[in-house]
Amino acid sequence: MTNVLLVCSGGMSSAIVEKALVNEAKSQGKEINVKAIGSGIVREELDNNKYDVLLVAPQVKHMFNSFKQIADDFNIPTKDIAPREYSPLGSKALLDKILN
Amino acid sequence: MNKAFDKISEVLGGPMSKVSEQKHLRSIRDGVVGAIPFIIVGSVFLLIAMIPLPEGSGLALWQKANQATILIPYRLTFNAMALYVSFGVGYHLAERYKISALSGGLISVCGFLVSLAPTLFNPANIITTTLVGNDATAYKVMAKEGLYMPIANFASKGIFSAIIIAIIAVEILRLCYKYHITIKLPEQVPASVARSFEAIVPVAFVVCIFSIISILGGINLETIIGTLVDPLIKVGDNLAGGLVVVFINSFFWSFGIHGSAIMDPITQPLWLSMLGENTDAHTAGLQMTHLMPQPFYQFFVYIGGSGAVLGLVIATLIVAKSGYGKSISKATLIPSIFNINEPIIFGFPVMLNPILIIPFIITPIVLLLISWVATALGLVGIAFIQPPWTLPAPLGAFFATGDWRAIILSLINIAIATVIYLPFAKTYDTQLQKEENNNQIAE
Repeated sequence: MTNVLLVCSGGMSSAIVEKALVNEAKSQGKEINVKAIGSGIVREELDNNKYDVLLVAPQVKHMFNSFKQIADDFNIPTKDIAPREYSPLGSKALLDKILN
Repeated sequence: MNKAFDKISEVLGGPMSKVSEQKHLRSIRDGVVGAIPFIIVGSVFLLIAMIPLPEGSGLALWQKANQATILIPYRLTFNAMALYVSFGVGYHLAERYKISALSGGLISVCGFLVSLAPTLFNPANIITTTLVGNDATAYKVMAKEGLYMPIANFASKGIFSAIIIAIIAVEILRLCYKYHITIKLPEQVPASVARSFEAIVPVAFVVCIFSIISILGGINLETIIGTLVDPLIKVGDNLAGGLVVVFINSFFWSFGIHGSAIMDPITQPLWLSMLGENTDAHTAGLQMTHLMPQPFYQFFVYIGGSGAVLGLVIATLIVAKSGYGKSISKATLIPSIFNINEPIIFGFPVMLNPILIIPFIITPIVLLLISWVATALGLVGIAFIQPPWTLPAPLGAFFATGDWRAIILSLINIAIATVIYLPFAKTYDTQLQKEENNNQIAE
């Protein structure tokens, strides 16, 4: 089971990506758990729950470095989501990115 | 080309992320958003009370006879929005300062209420002077209590003073905590009790400060702050201001920066207060004066989300020959109908895409112009109700204005957006097709 924390601006789109990602994992027979949060509460969330990777959505990419600093404190990798991976069609590439 | 875009995005991104993450601005945005459910639910009652019904029908008679009663839930939700905003802003600001969020929300409401100084009332005066029309029921109830505070003070015009008072109150709270100006209880006392005692000193400060201003000084903060923000409202209220807002929004989105998130702390309170004033005017049977409150942008301009990208999705559905163009337009159609634009903006992508940025900036400007002219000429009604933003645009436009012609304008705008996007979608799709032929895309 891979636990993924997705940081975005807290809108509706992350739910679409989240769902596409979980479905893609299911179809490949892999287990993955995704939680999407707004950009202000990354540290609290990492404090409270255990994650394996932090994903940064394209609309908050300009804050990538500050997220990376936080994730480094928890010793987990930070990866940015390419624009196209942040769509219902991009889940395959995104899943590859998470698992590798 | 892409390098240049990356550079601009980097240069803009840094300062803009600071703006959108700034504690006070962020709290204003989140606090105002917190009030939206109350505004939407209140809108439903407004709609029931105000929706045009066939003249003389049984339903219309019932509506007319019970209008004041139907409007009571509206008056305590939508028309009391400043009270909810006050709590929301205080709560979120305290949360960002990592002090008790509940205390932050409560102390803000306290400051707001005290600043409105209730009036001792003389039933004789009130009953003889204001017991007229729709408001008769409301005043009768208050007459029994003896002390009154008109709920009109909680309405949209109070939204700016609610925000400013919330910020002052939470700053007082924060400073008291920071310099330990609090009452401390022994450690054995449960944390929740200790915390509520900690708030005693800051609450006393807030109550005293605002009492001195409003009760002793007789100063109405709401009027003063209202006068101060008046120029802002005037700017936001005219066509040029609207065009600037729309341009900035598209411009930031073009670089993948959440444009509305940056504009929200300014535009949301502004648009809500305009909406509230429209609603007040409408329920009082007066002429509405603000052509462009929030629903105007949402359902006439940002159809499918920022950039009016529903037009792009439809245009791509029509012209796509590339595999990717076909599948992305199908996959993003449903989200776009419900005004969720990130899948197409990032998926196609529109951001950092030199071809699509052009219509992405032009389309909302054209739609704003058309809709403004149509509204100014009285071809469609003025928006005075807040439907949820995820409603498909024609439906939302209808509920916002109570005018069936708004459906037509919304549909015309979708068609115009599609036409503007068509040549650009075609060009980009041809480019995708070439790439696919060169096997540059794996799928």
